[in-house]
Amino acid sequence: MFSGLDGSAKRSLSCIGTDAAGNQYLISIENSFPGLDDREYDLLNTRVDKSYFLPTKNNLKALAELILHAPIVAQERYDLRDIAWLEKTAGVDLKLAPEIKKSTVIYRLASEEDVHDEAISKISLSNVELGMWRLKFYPEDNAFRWKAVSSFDLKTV
Amino acid sequence: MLAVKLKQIKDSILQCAPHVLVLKLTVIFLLLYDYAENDFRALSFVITFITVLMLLSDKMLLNRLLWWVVFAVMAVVLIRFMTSIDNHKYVIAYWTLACALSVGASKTEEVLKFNGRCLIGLAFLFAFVWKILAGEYIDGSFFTGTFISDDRFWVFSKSLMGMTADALQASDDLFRYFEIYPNPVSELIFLSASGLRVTALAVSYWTILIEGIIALTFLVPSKHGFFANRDFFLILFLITTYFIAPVSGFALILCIMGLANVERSRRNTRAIYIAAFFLLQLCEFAPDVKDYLLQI
Repeated sequence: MFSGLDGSAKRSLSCIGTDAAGNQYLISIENSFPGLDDREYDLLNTRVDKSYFLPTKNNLKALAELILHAPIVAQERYDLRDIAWLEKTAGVDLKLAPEIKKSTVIYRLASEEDVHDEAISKISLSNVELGMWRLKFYPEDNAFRWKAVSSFDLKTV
Repeated sequence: MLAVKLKQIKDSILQCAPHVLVLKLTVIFLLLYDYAENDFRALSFVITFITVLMLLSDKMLLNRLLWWVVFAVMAVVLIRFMTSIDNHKYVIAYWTLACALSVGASKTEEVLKFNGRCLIGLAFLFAFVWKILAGEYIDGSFFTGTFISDDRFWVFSKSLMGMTADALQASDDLFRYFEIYPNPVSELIFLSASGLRVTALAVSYWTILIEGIIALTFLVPSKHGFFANRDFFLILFLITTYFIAPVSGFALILCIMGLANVERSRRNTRAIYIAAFFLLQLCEFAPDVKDYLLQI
């Protein structure tokens, strides 16, 4: 998201998946993807976690395809109830995108265990939107905002 | 009594030939530093085994083949994790290569000296250029975010900017919410952060300045005037940086390469590097001390 202490550039990826019924899912791509084989895992993990992912159309397309062709499952539920208290304590005004306020569940690619676990509902996507962002600080109003670097939208055919 | 004892220790260490001392410190460093980590236990064992042999015998220490084997092990790790490995592991591998090349050469001390100076100079030059190009050091935004989101810096955020531990924890929590989904709509505004901004700018410019000076003084082959103080600048950087951001691998390898570059006759400067090498081991404990200070 930021330069590292060494000054090297870092970026963040955002991902929203859509299923056939039109429901949207925020998908975490900062964490590991245990459903992938070693080579794919390394490829993805390296691309996402470190600063070496080049936001070219080809790279984004390859990443979107990986996500699109694997089922996703719910990963984590964020509790936003205490935001007001945190804002008051920190002296911070946090404005979140409606997508986060609407759904506080973050999804991830299904792991091998998930795939065989009938209790976990697996969601198949029909569309993946990927975005590459940089976090920028605006000193004039002491604010952090996201700045788009690149984006890609992959639909199933 | 203690002063006399310390002087005896200093004299006995400095009696050692400079290149042998540098190679021994490198070996101690490699023995303590787990280069391959958990990824290649067998390769870690190879490095440990060879470095123990080198510590036990000066003949082994000056064996070129053993240094090449250690470098080959590092090369395997580097190639396997090329894009994700910590960048100071590249520097450690380059320095090990320099050791391998120096051992058996007719002027081992000179080879180590030249490579140490070039590696430090180039590492700091690249760091300096990166920081200028990224822009986030110039406008202070990097440290503004870091002071809030990186708990290694919280003790300074607390003492220099008067932020409470609760406020820092709350800011960090909000930062994490903010990072869940990058988008053009979300924003995070610090309503009262004037002290934060001034401190972030001061730390940013200090970092750029000291790294630029180290690059300049190590790359320009002059031993006079301003350039004669290169060791002072490097030690100042090591102490002011790595007790705050404890990356001991980077700190110790810089310390060894700095020592390799010091003239044989400058005993006090060599002694300071050696003392720094052992003192910097303590930077591993800095997070615990900072946690304690944060609670006060």
